[in-house]
Amino acid sequence: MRNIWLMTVFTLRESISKKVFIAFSIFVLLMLVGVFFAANLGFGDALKQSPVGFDKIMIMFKMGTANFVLSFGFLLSIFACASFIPSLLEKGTIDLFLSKPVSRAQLLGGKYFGGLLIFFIHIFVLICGIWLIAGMKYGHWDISFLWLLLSSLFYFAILNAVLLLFGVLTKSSGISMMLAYLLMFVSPLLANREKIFVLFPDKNTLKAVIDGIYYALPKLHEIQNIPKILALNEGKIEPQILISSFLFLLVVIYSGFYLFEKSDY
Amino acid sequence: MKIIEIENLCKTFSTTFGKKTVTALNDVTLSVEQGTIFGLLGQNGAGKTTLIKILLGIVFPTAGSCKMFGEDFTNLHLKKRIGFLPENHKFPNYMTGKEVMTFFGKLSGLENLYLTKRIDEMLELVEMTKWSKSKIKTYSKGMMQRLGLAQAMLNNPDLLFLDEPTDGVDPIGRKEIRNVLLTLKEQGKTIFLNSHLLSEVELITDRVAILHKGKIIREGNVHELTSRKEEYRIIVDSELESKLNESLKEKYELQKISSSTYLIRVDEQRPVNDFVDQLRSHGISIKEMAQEKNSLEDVFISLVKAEEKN
Repeated sequence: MRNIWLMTVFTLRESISKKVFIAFSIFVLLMLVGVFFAANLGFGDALKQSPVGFDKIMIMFKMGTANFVLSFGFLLSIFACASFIPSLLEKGTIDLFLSKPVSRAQLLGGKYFGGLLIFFIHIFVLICGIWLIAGMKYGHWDISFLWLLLSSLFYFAILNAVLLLFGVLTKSSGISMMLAYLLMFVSPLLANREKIFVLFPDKNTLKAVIDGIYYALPKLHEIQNIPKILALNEGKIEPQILISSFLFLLVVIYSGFYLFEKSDY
Repeated sequence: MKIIEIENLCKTFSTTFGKKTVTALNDVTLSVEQGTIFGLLGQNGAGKTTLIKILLGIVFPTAGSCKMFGEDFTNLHLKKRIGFLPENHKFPNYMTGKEVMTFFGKLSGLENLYLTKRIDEMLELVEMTKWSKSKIKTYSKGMMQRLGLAQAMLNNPDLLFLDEPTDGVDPIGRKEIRNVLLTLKEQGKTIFLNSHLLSEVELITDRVAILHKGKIIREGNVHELTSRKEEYRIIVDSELESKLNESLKEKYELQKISSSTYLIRVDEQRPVNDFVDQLRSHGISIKEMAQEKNSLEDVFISLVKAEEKN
């Protein structure tokens, strides 16, 4: 555990030195300032009189704001974390690390958790900040909003695993970044595939392929919506969303670790 | 006691789709005794770095076996007894020298109290104390090498692997590094040195192996490899030709280098002791006498050329 922690802190330090951490922090603070001013625009009374109900409209306001900001947060996090594995694997660096009494799994694990920690620090500030602003301004202290912390962490854990695997495989932060972005953008399309199928009703093979891809890939879009469903008590969460996404995470992480264990450097 | 034992080690690298293969090491067998400085020599691409990387678990062998300290080389705990200075190493350039030492010291499993003391000692030893609080990005190549050496010695290793340790270091720095290595040897540490600076290797190594295209083409101690058994350089107080009789001149092949310096070739039938006796009997005083040596570079070049011809 000590070695994993050392590598995690080392990764945090690396991101601070590359100014990405600071850029991310500035982004989060700017977003919070924006939310603070939006909350002070004086539409509180109008919200209270809304026929939808104050609680519901507050949850939707908070979720909408948080998800909007988080979308940019995910893009920034991918950008911030994509270079961690390739920089470890650079010639002259990896030799130093592998010559120490530290297992390869600990080295890679520390880097992975380092990425998660950087992300978590920022979304913790962001989500708790939005929650505090809404609570102080409108007296709305709904705890279920904080589910966003967990769902976002799970969402980024999957993306970070993709960065890890393709970082080990290609040693290129560019390729890893592109694939993580691709996964992010494909996920809403796959989640709404039924609407796309209407466009070509006779192509059953194509539908089967797309269905296959949907079940094989993580359900990022649905994961992002879980807190909203929980907070608004809108229907059930399908277990397959969590199970298949978790399996994807495990397979991708295991493949990354396996490749790293077996590779020459 | 043998610290490193390598038997029939082979390493073949393949390209991603396995279309091309490159043999980096071909049936390498060698051993290194405790408390010695062992030099692995070879041209660029001969397989020197691959061999070290295999011993450190950075590269996996295709075939063969390696033992260090009598144990299988893959045991992770062995690395606590090993120090390594890689060629062209890269430290995180946003850290200071001291921070790098602290980080890698902790990664080596050293405890804080001992580590702080040890860092100061090592930085002092490589004369980097003055620069310990400067960022790595401000360091010169020579300073990087010194810091790399300090980092490699941080855990007080019993076995030290050095890949081109004097690369980029000025002559004074090289001498200092040599002295550090000789001190470590006196302390019973074993040093495995990779270098193509043969004149440096010659000065400090006990044994060397010459690696050519992945194969060991010669192994032995430096004296064995470099001495020219049949030739002696002799300096006398007067000219020899007029004083030696004809039979002696005919018996020994004598070559005049300068007025008082001669090169003499001897063999089993004409031992050098007889020649010395003859000189004394003629009242000639010997000022200096030494066996002629090839430089390690000469030996290396001739061996490699011979191998190329074969």
